[in-house]
Amino acid sequence: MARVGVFVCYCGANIAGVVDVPAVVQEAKKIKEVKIAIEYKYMCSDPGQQMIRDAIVQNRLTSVVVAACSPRMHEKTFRKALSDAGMNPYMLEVANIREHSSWVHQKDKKAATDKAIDLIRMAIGKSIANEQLHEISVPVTKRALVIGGGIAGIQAALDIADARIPVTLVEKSPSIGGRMAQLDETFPTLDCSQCILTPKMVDVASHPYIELIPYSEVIELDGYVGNYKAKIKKKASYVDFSTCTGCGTCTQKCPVKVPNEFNMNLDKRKAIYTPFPQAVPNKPVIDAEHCTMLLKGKCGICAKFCEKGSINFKMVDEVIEREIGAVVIATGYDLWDPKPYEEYGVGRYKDIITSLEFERMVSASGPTNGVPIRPSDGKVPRNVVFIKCIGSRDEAKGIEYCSKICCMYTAKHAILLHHKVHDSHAYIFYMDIRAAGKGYEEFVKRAQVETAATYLRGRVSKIYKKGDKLMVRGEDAQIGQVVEVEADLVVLATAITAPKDNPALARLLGVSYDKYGYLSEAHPKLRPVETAKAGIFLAGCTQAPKDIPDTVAQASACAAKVCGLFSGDTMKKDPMISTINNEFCSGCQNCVKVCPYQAIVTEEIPLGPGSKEMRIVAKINEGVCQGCGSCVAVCRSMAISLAGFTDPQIINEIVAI
Amino acid sequence: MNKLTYFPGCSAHGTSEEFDHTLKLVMKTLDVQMEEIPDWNCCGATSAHVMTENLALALPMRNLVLAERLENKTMGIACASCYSRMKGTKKHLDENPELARKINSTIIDEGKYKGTIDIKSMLQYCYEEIGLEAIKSKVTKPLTGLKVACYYGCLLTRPKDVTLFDSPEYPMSMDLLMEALGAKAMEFDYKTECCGASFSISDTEIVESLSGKILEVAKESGAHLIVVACPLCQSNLDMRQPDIEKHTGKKFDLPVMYFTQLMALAFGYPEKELKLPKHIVPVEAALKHIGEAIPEPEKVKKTPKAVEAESEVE
Amino acid sequence: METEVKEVKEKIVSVENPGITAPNGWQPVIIGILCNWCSYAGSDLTGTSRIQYPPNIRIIRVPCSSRVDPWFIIKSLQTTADGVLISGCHPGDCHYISGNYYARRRFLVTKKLLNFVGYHENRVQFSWVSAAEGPKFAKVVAKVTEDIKKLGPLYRYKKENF
Repeated sequence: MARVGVFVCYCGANIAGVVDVPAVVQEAKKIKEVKIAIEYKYMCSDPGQQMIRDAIVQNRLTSVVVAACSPRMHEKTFRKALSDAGMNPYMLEVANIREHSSWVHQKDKKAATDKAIDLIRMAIGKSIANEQLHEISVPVTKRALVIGGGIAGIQAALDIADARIPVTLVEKSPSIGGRMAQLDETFPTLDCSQCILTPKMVDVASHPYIELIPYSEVIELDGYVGNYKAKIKKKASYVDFSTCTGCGTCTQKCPVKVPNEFNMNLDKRKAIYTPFPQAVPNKPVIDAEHCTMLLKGKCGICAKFCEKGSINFKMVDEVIEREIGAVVIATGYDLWDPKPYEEYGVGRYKDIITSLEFERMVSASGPTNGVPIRPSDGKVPRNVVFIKCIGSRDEAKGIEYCSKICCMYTAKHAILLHHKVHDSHAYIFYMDIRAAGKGYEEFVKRAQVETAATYLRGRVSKIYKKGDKLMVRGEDAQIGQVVEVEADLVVLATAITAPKDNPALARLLGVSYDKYGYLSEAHPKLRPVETAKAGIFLAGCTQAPKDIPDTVAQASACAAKVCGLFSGDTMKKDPMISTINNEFCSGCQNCVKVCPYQAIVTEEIPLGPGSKEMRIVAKINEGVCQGCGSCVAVCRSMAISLAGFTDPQIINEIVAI
Repeated sequence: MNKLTYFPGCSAHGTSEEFDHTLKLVMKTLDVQMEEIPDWNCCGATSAHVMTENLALALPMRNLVLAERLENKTMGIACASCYSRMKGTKKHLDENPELARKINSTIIDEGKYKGTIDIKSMLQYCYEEIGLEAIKSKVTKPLTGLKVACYYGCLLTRPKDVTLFDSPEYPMSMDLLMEALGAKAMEFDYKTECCGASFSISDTEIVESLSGKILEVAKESGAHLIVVACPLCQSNLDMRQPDIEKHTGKKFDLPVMYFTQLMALAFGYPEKELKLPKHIVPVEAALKHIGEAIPEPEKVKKTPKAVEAESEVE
Repeated sequence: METEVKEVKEKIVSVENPGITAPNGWQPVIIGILCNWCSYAGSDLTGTSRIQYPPNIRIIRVPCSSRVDPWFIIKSLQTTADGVLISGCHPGDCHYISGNYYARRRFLVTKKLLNFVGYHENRVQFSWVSAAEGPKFAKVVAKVTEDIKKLGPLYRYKKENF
């Protein structure tokens, strides 16, 4: 016979101000299974919990109902009170009489009280059918996989490796470094980007706990948290890294020139190349789409000049496997193509460039030796117009969100322009100036004061050619006039976007993504680095646009999460999962088809005890099951039950009203 | 022989007579039989849609009902404003069938609106239905040597989900049509900028300022004349040109012609069929450029590397 | 923001059994089965935001809308409920990836069957409410309550003892 304890909370005046708590307690006492019903001002407080513990022991209770705030608030708290009193923590049910009664029916106290009584009856009915559950332990592979070798991936890998956990870092391009390697100086300190990045890159390469796999992609991920299996495709580089000395002779001798994507196609690289001088690893790869030898069987000059004989045109892609416990996704961002801005003449006029092209120009190791130039005639520009919010915040042509970093890097560009070309003048057309970080507002002020940059609040409606200049026609809303600026060069602060491959990668890994392709965090406020899939974490712009400080912070947060996951020998798992009763299972496999996690497989068991004939039944992998209950509802034989939400429990709730 | 339902609009028999006349000539050459809608009414233009929604929808709707009676697949409209009103109305009615029924039953006696006719501007019809190849094949006197700036105005390609034609910001259909005739279409940034439209009557200064800018940029492009596809565009840029010259002190000498006039010329019709005396800015001098050789454009030096800076570099 | 059901002054008749009128002061009982991650969280947000709605609904929490067996709906109608509301995550946003797609299809079929058997089509309703849609939940409850109130008490196929 069930022995239920009912504990009704006042929650100060939050519940008691509307619901007649004493009356509720009296009604609860009338139910025959209820052995004790008490009320208290704050059940979640220490004395409140003590009351529960004492009542459990003194009344030999078999289950507990707490009528208070939402279970999403304090279910864990009260479960702990139960286990401290020696009762199985899953014998608790919470009746939500605050968010679902007192707070939403403030005008009708009688109705609120009646509803509270009903909710408690439902909770009592459910708790009578509760089963004792125990947390499950699953083994955990203590190795992390980091996908992406930009600053986010680098930071995450270093932090995890420093905790003596092995890390496999996979990067798609021949070198790690990502977007940060393309930057000249970073705001707000104007640190040289390469100077602060390369030490970290070298750390990654030399760290005893990091396995760096460049020029590779993850092509498969199976399994579940703590027990993943990853397949990684190492693209053929045609260069034997173990013998190559990085002398660079092959690159010098190669006759093929290809647009250089690292320099935003402003200059050319060779078919055998390292992406930039400080590349890690500093070994060249051959671009198979442009190498004459690989395409036509002719040339091979690089191999002829290689003293170490490191070049091997017969190399093929290789697929390797790794057992992984957790994954950090750090795939960075792509840039929006400003092609839709036809009224600016984008694509028609060479002297209209994007911000990253400008960044490459002002970089000392860039295609123009650190001096910004007009692509049309190579002259150094004097009047440069910067236009912010190109594609960002634009529902008509672009995307609705704000790209977050452009206000700051445009101010930076104004400063860099002033440093490189002393008699230049920057005109910046803006809608707003978003400078919310530490030292950011001061940095923008510095740009305005130091460089005398002209900030014009208004949109640019047209850019047209006049002679060899570009006339930029926009509004200065602060004086209510249309203005025209004669520009030598126009720089567009284009929106940043999620990497184009993100949706495909997300589907491969089993995580969700939003309409823009950004990977979805578990909760935007409280769980910004986790995904809804346990064991997979997000760092950097792959989740949303952000600057370097936030990226590094998020990467370190991922590392902390991974370390937490790996902190024991095994991992604890929520026991509210489904189980199959083989006696009833007919082997129809409906459940196999609907499980979103492929947690159900089939197995063969004897037809009867001692029988030689076999029959098929379904089998649930308790490590993978996430407890959604999709299988329960499709089972024709009622063979599956979901712990914590069984059919008897729910039916009891329905009939208790 | 293709059949085209034709809506001339109010100005066709008046101020844009040269447009209407040359249009009929070139359509004959292109084997298109034009059927003018009998008893058509004014589309309402700007005036109706600032009065009431019902009036703004009913006027074009009646024309659509009359057009559907002729049972041709497509209706071609010369004036861009009429085109915008008619096509916009059709879209609105198709998306709001209740409203369409209400207006049909209360205001329009001529028949039931079916929504079956496809509406195109004459430029759109030439480009999409007739096609550049067919037009090129009828050219007997190519316009080589003539440099034109194609001005589209605001309504031929916008709003883009109504017109569903060409690019809203930098269209090229008229340019390509001119090239098919042998002329050279100059790169012209102001091809879709506002000319001031019907402020021509109520606040002429606005037109002088906006149209003035268009003329300035067109002149900069090196064009001999401006080509248009809309009577209001033509009238603002042509009729107001002397006043603009007087108030700004700049000389333009840019005649403004309809694309159908140039088509007629290229198809071999004599100049007198073009009704040139109707133009305010004389056209004859510009047409003399036909037959001139065009010099090769200068090769631009490619120097992607930075020239040693005239200013100091840190 | 308040969403209250207007007082219906006329006699309320049970729509499936027109011979029966509701007793004076009758209030419908509506059972709401909400998925934990979206709709239940959304209903909590309604509470936190203090948005008011009619007090007729009794909420049952499930992990996912796909857990809901048509049996629960039938049992609810047979026993304590005059109407049922099932609410889950928006299509594409299911916490368990695909659960709400199965739920959606299952309920279309269930609803057809219930209509066929003789329940008025508004007795059972479905909604998608996300964790951020506190106000929407209140609107949904107000609408469902108003609908059920117009239908009158449910007498058809009620169990005598349960």
